[in-house]
Amino acid sequence: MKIYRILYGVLGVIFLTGTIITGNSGLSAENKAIYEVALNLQEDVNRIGFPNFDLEDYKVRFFDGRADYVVSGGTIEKDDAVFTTFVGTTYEVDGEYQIILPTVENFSAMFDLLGNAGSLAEGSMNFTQSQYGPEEHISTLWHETLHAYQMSCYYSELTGLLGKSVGEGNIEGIVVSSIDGNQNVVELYKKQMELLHKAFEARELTEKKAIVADYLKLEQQRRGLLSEEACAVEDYYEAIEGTACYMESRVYGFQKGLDALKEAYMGQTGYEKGSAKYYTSGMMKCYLLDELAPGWQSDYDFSISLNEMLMAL
Amino acid sequence: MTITMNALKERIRRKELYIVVAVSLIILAFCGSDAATISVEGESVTGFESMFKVLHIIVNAAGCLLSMVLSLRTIPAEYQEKRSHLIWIRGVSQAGYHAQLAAANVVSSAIAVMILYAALIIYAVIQGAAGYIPTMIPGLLIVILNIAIISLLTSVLSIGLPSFVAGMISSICVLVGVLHGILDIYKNIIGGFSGAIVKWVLLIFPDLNGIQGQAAGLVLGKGIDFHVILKGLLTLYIISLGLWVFRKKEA
Repeated sequence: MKIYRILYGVLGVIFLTGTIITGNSGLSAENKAIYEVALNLQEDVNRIGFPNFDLEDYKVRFFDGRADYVVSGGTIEKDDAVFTTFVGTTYEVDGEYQIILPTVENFSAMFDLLGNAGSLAEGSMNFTQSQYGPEEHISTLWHETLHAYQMSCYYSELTGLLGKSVGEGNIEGIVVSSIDGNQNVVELYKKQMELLHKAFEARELTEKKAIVADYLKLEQQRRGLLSEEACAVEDYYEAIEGTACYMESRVYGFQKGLDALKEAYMGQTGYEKGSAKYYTSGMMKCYLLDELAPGWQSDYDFSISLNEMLMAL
Repeated sequence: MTITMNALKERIRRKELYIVVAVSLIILAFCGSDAATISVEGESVTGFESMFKVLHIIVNAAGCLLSMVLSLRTIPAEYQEKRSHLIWIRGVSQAGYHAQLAAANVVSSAIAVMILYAALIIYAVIQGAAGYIPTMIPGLLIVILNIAIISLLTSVLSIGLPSFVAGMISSICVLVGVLHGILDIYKNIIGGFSGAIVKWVLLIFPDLNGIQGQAAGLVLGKGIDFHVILKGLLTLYIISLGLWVFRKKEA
């Protein structure tokens, strides 16, 4: 009888030890591969033209639901999670901006659960759940990398867009109350988005310019209906998120081609409540600037709005 | 062993195993037929792998519920029908007696899930995916781990608690266990105090979905995460300690 008790005890020790040992398996191979592929896209990203914009300058924290795996300079270290919720963002950790992303497994599972994780992360996701995979995660990683770059190099310029009267914590509220709640503003915005898409599809540069001019006239009319604060919020969102979404879509295009890019990013034509609409409008403006002012990225310091960039043409 | 065999014979005599399995098979046959359209994201799931994953989840959930039903009354019935006194006079310890009855519960539950799994094998053959059958055997063994967890948990709870309470706790365990993956994601979406509560709930309840997922993945040729399996085995081990902790007053 004693031998059975000993065997029973040994079995327990084996299970406990095995569970502990296998529990620290680290970052999955799929996430490591995602980071490697993202790094390999650096040369393509350099051609876009944002100066000194380099993924390797920023640590990437993959959150697996329990802990962060910090990837930097060929090393991976486990660390306490900065956020215990699934977010794609950049955040100041130990005096530097780092990129925070859920692991691709968790992000995919989140899509499985919710259909579209956009509303949970930053409103930036353009994919349906069946489409979200490594390529999409790499694009999201570059989206967040641009945020890390913006926060590290152009923080004061970006907050300057908001002006002194708007606190950073209140900006989504302003969108919802002052902009989404005003039906005249909404209708004008819808017309403007149609114009942006039309300009993007136009073949001739002169035609594009003419459509952009029409867009800007409507913009002036629409902004006449908005408070100064609301206008500042729109400028801020388009500059910070529109450019990030533009980066994300460009990286997606590098991986999957132009048709896939258009399908994933240019299909959104309806009115989206909240800040999500500025991701799309800002991104569209970046694409128009690509054609109307090639190389605009090299001088852009985020201190002026994308509208001002278009007006200057 | 004699007690286990007798308990199994009693189970077969009462035919409860057949009735519950028959009901489950009807559900499974319906899911596997053209009569049911399972859609994910509004799109019909038709490919074998997609459909297999869905059916595997159903088999696992049905198997867990079956094992709970099959295990709930075994030990209390022994005492109600005064058969326990026949055991004491043979010098068998109470813990040993309960352990053998619990073993009978686990074996009968495993047989039930084997029958359910046989339906999956038939489904694979019908779908022209017989190539998956060899990996279904280890897949079945992994699913039996889930079944053993629920069966043993129900058996242990039925020693010290009224059947209704034991059944309720086991049902909650099955529910949380099969939804473990979803809840795990959910806790990281909601965060805050609610997220912390869900986190603790998930720590307490076994990850039946994780184990099921490993089994399905193994069948479909994906790698296996041994941590999930070992955690399941450890859970089973911890539950088994209850056989020594819980005592019936009658003895």
